[in-house]
Amino acid sequence: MLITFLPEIVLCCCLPVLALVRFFRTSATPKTYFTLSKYFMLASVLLSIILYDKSELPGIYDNSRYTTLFKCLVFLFSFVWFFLAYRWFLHEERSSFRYFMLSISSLICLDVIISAHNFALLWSALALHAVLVYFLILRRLDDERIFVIAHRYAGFAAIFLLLMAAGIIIFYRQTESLNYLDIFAFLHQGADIPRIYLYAASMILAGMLFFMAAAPFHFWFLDVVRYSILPVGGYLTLAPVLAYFAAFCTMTINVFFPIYGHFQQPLIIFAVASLFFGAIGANGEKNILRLFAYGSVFNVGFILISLITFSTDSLFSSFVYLLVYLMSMLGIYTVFLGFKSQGRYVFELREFAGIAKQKAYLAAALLMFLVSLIGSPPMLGFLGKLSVINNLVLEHHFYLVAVALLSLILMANAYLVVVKTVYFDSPIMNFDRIDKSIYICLTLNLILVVISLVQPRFLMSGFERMLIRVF
Amino acid sequence: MSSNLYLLSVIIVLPFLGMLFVLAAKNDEKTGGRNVYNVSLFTVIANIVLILRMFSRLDVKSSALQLVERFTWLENPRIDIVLGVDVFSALLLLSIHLAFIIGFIAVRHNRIQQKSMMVFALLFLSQITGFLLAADVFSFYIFFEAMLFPVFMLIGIFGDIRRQGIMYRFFLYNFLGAVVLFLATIILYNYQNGAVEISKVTQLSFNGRTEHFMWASILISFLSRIPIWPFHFWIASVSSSIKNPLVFIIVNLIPLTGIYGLIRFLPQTFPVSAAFYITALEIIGVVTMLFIALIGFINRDTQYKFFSYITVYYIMYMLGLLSKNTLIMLNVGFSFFSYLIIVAGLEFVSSYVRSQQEKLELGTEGLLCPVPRLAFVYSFLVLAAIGLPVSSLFLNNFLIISSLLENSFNLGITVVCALVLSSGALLGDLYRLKDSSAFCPEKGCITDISKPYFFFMTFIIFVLIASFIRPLWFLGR
Repeated sequence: MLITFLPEIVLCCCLPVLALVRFFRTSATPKTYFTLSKYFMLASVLLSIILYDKSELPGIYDNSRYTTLFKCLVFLFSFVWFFLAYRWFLHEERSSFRYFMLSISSLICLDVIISAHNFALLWSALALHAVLVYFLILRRLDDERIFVIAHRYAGFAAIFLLLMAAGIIIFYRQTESLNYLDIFAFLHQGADIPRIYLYAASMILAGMLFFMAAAPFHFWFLDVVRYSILPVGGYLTLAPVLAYFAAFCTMTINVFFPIYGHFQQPLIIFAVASLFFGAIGANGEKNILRLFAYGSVFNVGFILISLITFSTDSLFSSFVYLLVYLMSMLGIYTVFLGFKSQGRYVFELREFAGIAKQKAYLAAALLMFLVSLIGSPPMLGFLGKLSVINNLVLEHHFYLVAVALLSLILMANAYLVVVKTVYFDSPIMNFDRIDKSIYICLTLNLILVVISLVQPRFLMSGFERMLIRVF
Repeated sequence: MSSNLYLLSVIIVLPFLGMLFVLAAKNDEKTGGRNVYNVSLFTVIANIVLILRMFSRLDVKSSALQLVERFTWLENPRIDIVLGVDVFSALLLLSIHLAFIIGFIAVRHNRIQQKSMMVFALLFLSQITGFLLAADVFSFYIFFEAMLFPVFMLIGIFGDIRRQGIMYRFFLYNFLGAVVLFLATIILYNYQNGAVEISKVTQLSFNGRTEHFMWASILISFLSRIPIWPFHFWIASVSSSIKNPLVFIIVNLIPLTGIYGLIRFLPQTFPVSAAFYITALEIIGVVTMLFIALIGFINRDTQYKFFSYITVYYIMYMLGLLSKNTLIMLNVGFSFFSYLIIVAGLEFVSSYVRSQQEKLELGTEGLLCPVPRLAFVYSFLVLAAIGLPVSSLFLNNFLIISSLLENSFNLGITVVCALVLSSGALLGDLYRLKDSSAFCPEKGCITDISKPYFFFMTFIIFVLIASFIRPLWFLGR
């Protein structure tokens, strides 16, 4: 049994080591914590790859190519972000011990969420992750509002977790099991499923949508990203969405698929709501972090709209979109780390005015990522847009295509306002010298984008084979 | 594919590489911006050499796409990037590159944001080259949308007053058109179970609602780029606000992409149900044409007169295409060759006059009197622009107008009226500039263009005259 959890156990070992360093070393810098986390993460990801098909708890905890793919991506994005976060802590001269402790714990939870094939396990991981997110939000020390936001998040997370728990208990009373396979067998028996089980399934799915920040459950995400410190906001934007997406797909395909017909229309409504809430909200936003948080809500909508049939093609297209979107968001958050004036990070849109005149490389990178998010060729985002729209056309959802493209135009308008501010407005402040690590990360990200753009087939064909393992 | 040494790909990639060199070029006070400028100019000249090489490999009598290159880009969905060229697209390519050189010469002494200007200009050149060489619908769409981004940036940086509104208008019209074409491309792709070669699009037939949707999407996407009502707002605002000649030339190449799209996509025979829409389009076209020609005639702003002239011609080409006459199609291609060079040349000389006029705070009357070299070039270009027998515009316009008159007398007459008005506007402007009775030497006079400039413009004049005598003179055939 231990071998199944070996990657998570390795990560767990990281926590006492970090704690020991904190208590026994007098000058533990952010670099120390990052270096330690890096090695444990590397060991964990290597073990995930080596043990990709070792599942000694079948029906409860599954390791497959599908889960390994998502775990590797979560680690990859987290690793890059932790590197940038440690530079942030270094410049801010703040202790990063709690941040790395909480983030590594969060990664363990995300690992479990990805592999869980049992509702008790999934719920526990989600609940623990929500607690960790609560403490991560509280990492900001200089703003009183953060307590209100953290408490609000905790309150709503508790409500949705309770809803999920209620749904899970309803299934447990019938099947006396919380394994996905048993509940699937019950739902698949062919007879008319009593309404109560549909309600139970909707409670569970609603909980997942809340954590994915799909509209209308997105409100927590906007404030959390806006008010928490940048390393936390970036982490919450990049890593958890991959795990939630993986768990959402696993759950819908392996548990609720027999009754999925009942949920298709509501899912479309949530997807369309996310698209329009995201696009319209972003257009009215003056704070850059909130603007991109709305962008994330919009992208969740785009992913959901592509997922609606849960076929191999729809899963693949939404995955491509997710990956492309996360690569762009990673680039954009990296750029944010470079926008600092008089020792203070700037996040108000007006403060970005004319940055291109002072920080040409950073502005150019931001421009490329924005064009990518718009989905305009020849940027990588086009690949995501193409993948989703082609899939919708194949499935004859023409009205959804129209909705998606209309919302995309609205969203593009919001991103163009950023381009206009950065490039065409007159500068109002001077920006500080930029850390070299930001340039390195941006360059690596851009190289990756260019490679993926020129030869996407190498990337895509491998992923497709891994993704079909979920079925 | 290997026999043509990826010539078409190289022609697309070269401006992009040039752009990267420009990005890396040092552009400080010491170099005075020469590095950036020289690299850009060299890139375009090198590409012209490659285009001429491409021409030499073309069978000019064949209407099929030649020198085809194919690259697999995506496996799921299977998308290949296919490139190919025929005489029509090769001619356009050559004239666009010549127009770019004229634009570069015109901004030689412009130091304001020179690096940004050259970067986005070369990026645009790479995209529009790819657009003209695209041989399948997917490649066509990719370049069709991709070229918007550099133009957006150029308008943003070099657009004048009210630029925020202008940018949004530009974005709204063009991005909407691109999105509609994207949808049509995807449907076409799935309808045909794979990518469709661009030469076969005109032969496709659809059934029922798909047919309506497809042609409506295609028409809307291409019309959004042509200055026809209600899509003309953006280009009117942009053209009248941009004072940079290179950016003006680039912006006015955007309608060309719409016309080119119509040439490639319009079906060989229109569906019966489309007859009403085609008639409506013709009516809207001539009314817009007449209206803009009238405004251009009345307006005293030279830039607006140019815009009016450009619009009238673009709409005339569009109306010519709707007549579905193969001969006219070919003539549009030959006509475009001279037209683009003339527009670029006119913008060059007029921007020169404008800058001198602003520097010396002079009026326009009699400005050309003491400057014989500039007067000669300006006069020649205006005479060529109005269709006198000094360039290929003469014969080709003659054929297009006769075809329009043959199809519908009323339509043809209205087009002729619009052409007369726009020509009158240009001639009126020329008359004002050469009016010796109003010339007052005491107020000061402008400097003539330098000898190298004059020799360059003489070469351009030679190209125009040669195109009148033999359209493919540079091939020696």
